Amino acid sequence: MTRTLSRRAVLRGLGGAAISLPLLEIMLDRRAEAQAAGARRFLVVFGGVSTGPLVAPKMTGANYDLGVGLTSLGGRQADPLLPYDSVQSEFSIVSGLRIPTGSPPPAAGRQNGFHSSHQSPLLSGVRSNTLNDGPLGHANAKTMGPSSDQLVMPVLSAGTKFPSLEYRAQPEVYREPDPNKGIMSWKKDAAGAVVPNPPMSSPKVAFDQLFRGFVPGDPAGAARQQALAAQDKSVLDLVKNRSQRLMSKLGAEDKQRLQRHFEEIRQLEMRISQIGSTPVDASTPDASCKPVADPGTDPSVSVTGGASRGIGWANEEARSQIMADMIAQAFICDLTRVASFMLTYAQCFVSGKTICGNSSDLHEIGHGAGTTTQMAQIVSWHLKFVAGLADKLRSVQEPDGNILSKTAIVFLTEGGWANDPHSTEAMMVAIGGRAGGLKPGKHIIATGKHPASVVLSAMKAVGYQGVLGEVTTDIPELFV
Amino acid sequence: MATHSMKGIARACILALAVVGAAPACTGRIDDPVGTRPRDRNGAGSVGAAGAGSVGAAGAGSVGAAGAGSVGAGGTGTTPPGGPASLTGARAFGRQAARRLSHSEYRRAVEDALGITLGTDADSLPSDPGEPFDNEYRRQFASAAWIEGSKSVADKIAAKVVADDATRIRLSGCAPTGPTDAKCLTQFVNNVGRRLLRRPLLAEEVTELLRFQSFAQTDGNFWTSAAMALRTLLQDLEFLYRIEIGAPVAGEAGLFKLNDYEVGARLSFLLWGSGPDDGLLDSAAQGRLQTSTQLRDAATAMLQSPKALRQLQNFHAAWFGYESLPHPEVLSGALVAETNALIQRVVLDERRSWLDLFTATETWISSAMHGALYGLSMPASGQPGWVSYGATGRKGILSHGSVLSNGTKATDTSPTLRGVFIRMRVMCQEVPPPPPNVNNALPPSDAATPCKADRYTAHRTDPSCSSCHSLLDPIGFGLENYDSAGRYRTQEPNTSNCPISGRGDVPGLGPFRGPAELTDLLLKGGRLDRCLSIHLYQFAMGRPADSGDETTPDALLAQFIRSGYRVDQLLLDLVTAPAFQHRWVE
Repeated sequence: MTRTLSRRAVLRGLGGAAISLPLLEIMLDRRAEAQAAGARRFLVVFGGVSTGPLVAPKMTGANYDLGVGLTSLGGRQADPLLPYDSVQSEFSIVSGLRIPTGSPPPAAGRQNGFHSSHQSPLLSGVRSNTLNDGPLGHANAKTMGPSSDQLVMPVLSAGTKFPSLEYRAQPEVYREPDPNKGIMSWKKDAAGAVVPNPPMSSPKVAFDQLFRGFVPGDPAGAARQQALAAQDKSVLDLVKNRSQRLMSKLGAEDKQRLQRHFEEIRQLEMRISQIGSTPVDASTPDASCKPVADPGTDPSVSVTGGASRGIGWANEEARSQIMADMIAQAFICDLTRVASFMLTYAQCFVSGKTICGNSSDLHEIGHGAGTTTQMAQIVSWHLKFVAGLADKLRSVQEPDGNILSKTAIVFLTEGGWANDPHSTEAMMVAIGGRAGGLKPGKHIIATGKHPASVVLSAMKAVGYQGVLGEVTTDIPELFV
Repeated sequence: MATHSMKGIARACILALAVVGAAPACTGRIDDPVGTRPRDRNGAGSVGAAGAGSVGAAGAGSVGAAGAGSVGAGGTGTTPPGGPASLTGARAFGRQAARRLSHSEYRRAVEDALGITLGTDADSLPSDPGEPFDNEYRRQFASAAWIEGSKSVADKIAAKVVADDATRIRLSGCAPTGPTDAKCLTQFVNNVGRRLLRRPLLAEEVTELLRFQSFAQTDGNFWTSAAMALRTLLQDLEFLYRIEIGAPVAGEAGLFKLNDYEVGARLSFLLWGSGPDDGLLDSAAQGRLQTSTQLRDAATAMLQSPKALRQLQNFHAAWFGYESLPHPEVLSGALVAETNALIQRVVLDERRSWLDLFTATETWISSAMHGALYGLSMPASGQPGWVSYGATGRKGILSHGSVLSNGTKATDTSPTLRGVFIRMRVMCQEVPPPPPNVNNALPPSDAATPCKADRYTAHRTDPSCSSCHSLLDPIGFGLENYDSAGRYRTQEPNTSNCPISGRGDVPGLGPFRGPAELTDLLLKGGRLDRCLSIHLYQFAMGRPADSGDETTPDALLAQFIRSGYRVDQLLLDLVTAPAFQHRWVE
């Protein structure tokens, strides 16, 4: 079978991570449609850290200074160890932002109390609730409105295999468990209630889910995969049917509780059903659309410290990279056009040893166990996965431009700095891509504006026409 | 001791507010919620007035084994508030809902049912954060991550089972005669299905699973169909969730009587944290889980199992925050083994008052290194064993390095965090958060304030700090002679002129020095037993008590006191309560 797609050279940054497998027809069709339609992509990324005093550039406008905290945007030109080219020209930095605080919280504001009352206004633009019922009296991290990714999803994702992807690199909270601190995607259920949309935190499971439809090119491998897919389908058919029967026997409350589980089974079964049987001719497919290497078993989780001072490490370095690569490939192959990516939990208890050479956790490093320089290094560490991902999207050309030129990426942090990281003053957001007329590559000081205004700008850039919760204005300077 | 500077004061105030977490202005009040209903979030119900009078369980109390330092009946002098709380109503446990197996329950249920060790195979399942327990079903949300994860884990488990000849033969009880040996597959499906779904499979269910034989025929491999059946069962809602349906009780709207298998599952997840074994399933099949006596007998037998000990140890480890410790592996292992040994001895082996966990005058020493931590020697035999604390000033579980590992920061102990730990986890009180936007950078020691006590001065002198910190820090300072592993010390680390006074105070209860005297205060104040009832209720119900509950942890407390503070008895009372056999939906 001959495909009509143009063949590209294997692009920088993909060669090492990708394996050479032909694609499933349906994916190529989707990819072709995406190219024809000039499809836009939206990615929102979160890091559970505060920026500290050293991150925002001193210079405004183009060619802003990167400093320690933004080094990653400079790619290998700024740090020879980084495996991608500078994307500084593809990202704008918006600083001077703030989330208003009060009790009760003002519009688009947060309740007094830090971790993690910022989550709701930052992610959904809706003021936080008034509870301080988290561990140790911390604020409630529940997000009160649908998050940006779920709002743009209907605009972008019609017909994609995955309406949206939700990933989190840090697999566990490690301390002071509040599951909401690890969830950045929220949506409305059928009853209109705002419910969490928990992320995938296993790279292996995420890989299996995302690339299940790729069929090996060799006949034996393809046959083996087809046989396994047939088994999967048969098993899931029965699981689904059994679930359906059980649901009919349950009371209203349990039925509602298990409905979501059932829906997820149904969607999984549907995705498996879509796996085709015909391998695509290896000479024709688009070389940029291919699975990343199978990550294999997930890196193990190591936590020390008990309930009150747990510090964890699960090789977040590798997990973040794998997931960033998968999101890039999902965008390139048009498996989805919307993704949320939580690198670290709000109030992050990941060990800083690998990240900045400090064995304390990232939260404590912000509270005197480290330096402000280390805080900046931590921000740069988060940002490098975003920058590398952007570079991959930039390297893939479609007839109407590279994929980054049709993408909006937002990188958010938990807090800013007001002589203390427990603050939503002086916040900073990085926004990348050129979708919808975004003009990146500059530093804008938007004193007193809401960080969700930057998110709303990205949403508008990909075609969304509404508001983000109680945040109604964007940052016009991003488009000029 | 060096004098403090104003700079140090300011920084110190900031420090301590921060360790509690930033939030609204501290009210200066440690919350003892008032009323008979517990609060929604943490189940912290009303607090028994200190010294309000002994209930005095008839003839109960500790047996007072040698070296146990036992507390007699009614020793804490607590009167359960809220009137005549009881467990007698069929609706006593409040609303019940389908609970998904927690990550740890999933692991144990699979391992126990299939007789395999999962290792890292279950790591693909998203974790269940605990606060402190990981079975809070209201925090469980189905997601693509969970469903994809459970598929991935099911695939691995099935592959592992059918790859091992001994395991697959054990589970099927037969050696297949060919790829489509229906009889052998039926045996496999029935054996495995009953354990995983916690009830026998219906004939039509078996028939459905046998359809996988077509894949075995294609493969020429009997175990293909067995693996597919196992993958189906492991992804089944009835395995992943504790589904309870029951039968409507005539004239009682919303009340359902559970069937024997459903009761068996309740028993096993409460007492073992796992699914029922074949013996319990047999009891259910034979109708021997229906009367109060039958349930008491079954539970009594179950408490003899190592699985019950594991469950009790896990319960305490989650509650007291030592599931993982910040020490080298050998030391962490020794500290956990020490606490586990005490729990085993007090709760199950000698069936003593649970309060003896706190008053024990002996501890389990497993190595010379471990003993040296406390200034103790190994038993004369040279083997791990019980050793008297002697004059070391220690007593019970609060002296253990495992528990003292709580409330520490990266470099040393934090008096504030330890105060928070004692208030919240041991006294079951709520600690209000500090004001917003405080600068909570840790003040480093410097020439002006080299000693920790100096750096905490502002907590005492600045009214905006002291209103709360005066209720927290003094508790932590009373434990300062014990480092983050429980090692005794007289000087602050890395200093030469910062002696530790070790003097502490629990405002409202009195001064103390060290964990032994703190224990005495807490016993006198009647905090410990009530805290057990709150946590056990939360653990058993999979959620904290809430305003919709007909009963409260106070009912457990009353029962606990009547039983002489016997956890084993309390568990038996729980499983023989009428509500244990009923489900109630509003």
